[in-house]
Amino acid sequence: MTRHLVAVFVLLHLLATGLQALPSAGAGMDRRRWRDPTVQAELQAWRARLASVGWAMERDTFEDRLFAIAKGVESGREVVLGPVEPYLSATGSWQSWKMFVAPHRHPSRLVIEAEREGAWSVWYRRGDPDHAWQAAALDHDRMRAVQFRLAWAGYDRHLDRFAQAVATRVMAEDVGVTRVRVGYERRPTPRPAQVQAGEDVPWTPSRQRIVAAGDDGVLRVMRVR
Amino acid sequence: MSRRWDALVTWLHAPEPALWLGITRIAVGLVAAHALAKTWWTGAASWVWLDRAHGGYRGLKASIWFDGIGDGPLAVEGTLAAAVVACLALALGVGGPIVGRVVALLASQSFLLLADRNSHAGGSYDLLLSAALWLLVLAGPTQTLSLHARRTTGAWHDPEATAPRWTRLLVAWQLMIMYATTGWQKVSVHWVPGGDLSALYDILQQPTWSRYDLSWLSHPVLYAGTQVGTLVTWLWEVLTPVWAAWWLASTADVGEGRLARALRRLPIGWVWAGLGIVFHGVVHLLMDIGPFSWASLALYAAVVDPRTLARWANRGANRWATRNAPETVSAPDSAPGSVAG
Repeated sequence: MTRHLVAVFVLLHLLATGLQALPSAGAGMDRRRWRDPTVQAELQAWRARLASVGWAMERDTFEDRLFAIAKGVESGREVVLGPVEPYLSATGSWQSWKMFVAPHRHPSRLVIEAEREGAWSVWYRRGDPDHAWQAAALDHDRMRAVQFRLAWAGYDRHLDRFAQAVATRVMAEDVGVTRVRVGYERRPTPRPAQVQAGEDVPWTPSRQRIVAAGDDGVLRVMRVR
Repeated sequence: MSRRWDALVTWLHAPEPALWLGITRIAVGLVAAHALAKTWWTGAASWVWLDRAHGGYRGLKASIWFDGIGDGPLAVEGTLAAAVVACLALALGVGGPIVGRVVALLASQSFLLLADRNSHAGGSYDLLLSAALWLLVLAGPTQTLSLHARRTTGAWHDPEATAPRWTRLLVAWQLMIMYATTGWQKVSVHWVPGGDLSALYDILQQPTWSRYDLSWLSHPVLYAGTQVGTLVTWLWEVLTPVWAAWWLASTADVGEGRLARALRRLPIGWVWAGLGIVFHGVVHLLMDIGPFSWASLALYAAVVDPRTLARWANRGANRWATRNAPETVSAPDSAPGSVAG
């Protein structure tokens, strides 16, 4: 009898994990992220491909239809997976394998700056050994996962709080710091021909936050861009 | 129907040499312990696993465990230390069928408590290790290459130890659905055939994940290499079901049909596993995405035929024994220059 029960359990486990692993939109259901230039370029490329086989659509129509399809798929997944998700969640058998599903062609890197006596200096820049404040922690893959996520639209409040946490640590380390700037630098990935030609593709600041103490001593976050 | 079901039950429970399970248990336990310990010693734990109230950057979701013991630095570091100890005990193979499962469960649940704590800070290796730890709980993994084997048989490796086939099926399935479904989601125009196949080049230029400055990959020859790599990676992942079919066909008692025989004749498993090892090696060399490559390779023993693995182990053990056997010492009365017969 035990052997039969084990067999049933094994088959159910295979079914539940297999179904949950199937492709899903996940965080892609947040349409704010569709405005990202990397995502826009992907959508445009697929729209052009469809048009080339006679299925032309306006951009808005294409995106609305895509969203409707994704919404339908997600609803279907919820119905099918609802009963097994408590098991998958409790046992750590959760399946979501969206690994580098599309290359990010406008990547960002985190930069932390501090102002002291009116002058700004860089404390940390991802990948820059000359500016490596708390690099052991900030360069750990879990922290880089955080940095990667907070660079996207939809994480504004989290980025505010992250900036606040960074400023707290910076100011605790150097009491002379009056303001802390936390944000990203972004650029389109240089194409091979540009690199070979020695062309400089500049980084531009994005999603910056300035943190300073108010009169009451509480750290306040200002969104710059 | 009943006969088919009985045959399936028998197939699932067929005993196989348990060496693969011992290897998998050690590898998963060590990779999980290292992943946790590194989060602590780099100081990243205080950023990602402490609540905002204690110096972290965000409010973290409630859990019965941290609600119960508090979620300050001491509670998080204590849980982290306990999880590392549990993972090391799992790797060591403490306990028999029951205690060994309890140890695996402690490792699984403590790892999960931390890995689930901050959804921003997780990697795919968290998912894979969590899933693998649970499968080790189910398998009862201490039959061989374990302290338990040493205590009960006098040797670390018990060549007679077996595990039911379903345990290996679950681990192989986990690995294969990961590869297949990540491939099926790579629908970017830069991944799929017919596009510019620039996905790998672009991914390797991302400052968040690249281990070094890899702009030298822009050299025309190397760039072409990344395009070939993109295509091979995509095909390798998307066509994982072929590997799965080979795995099934090459497993004893399955498929005496023409297709199964044809599959068995081809070295598909070796090609797939070989490409996987190369792929993970290159990823680890060029990118820093945490211990994902090690976590994946930790499960590879499950895709090798356990009888083949046992043969390799025996051959290796024999060679080792021959090399380390005490040299023949001439009897004191033998004539100088005589050869022992």
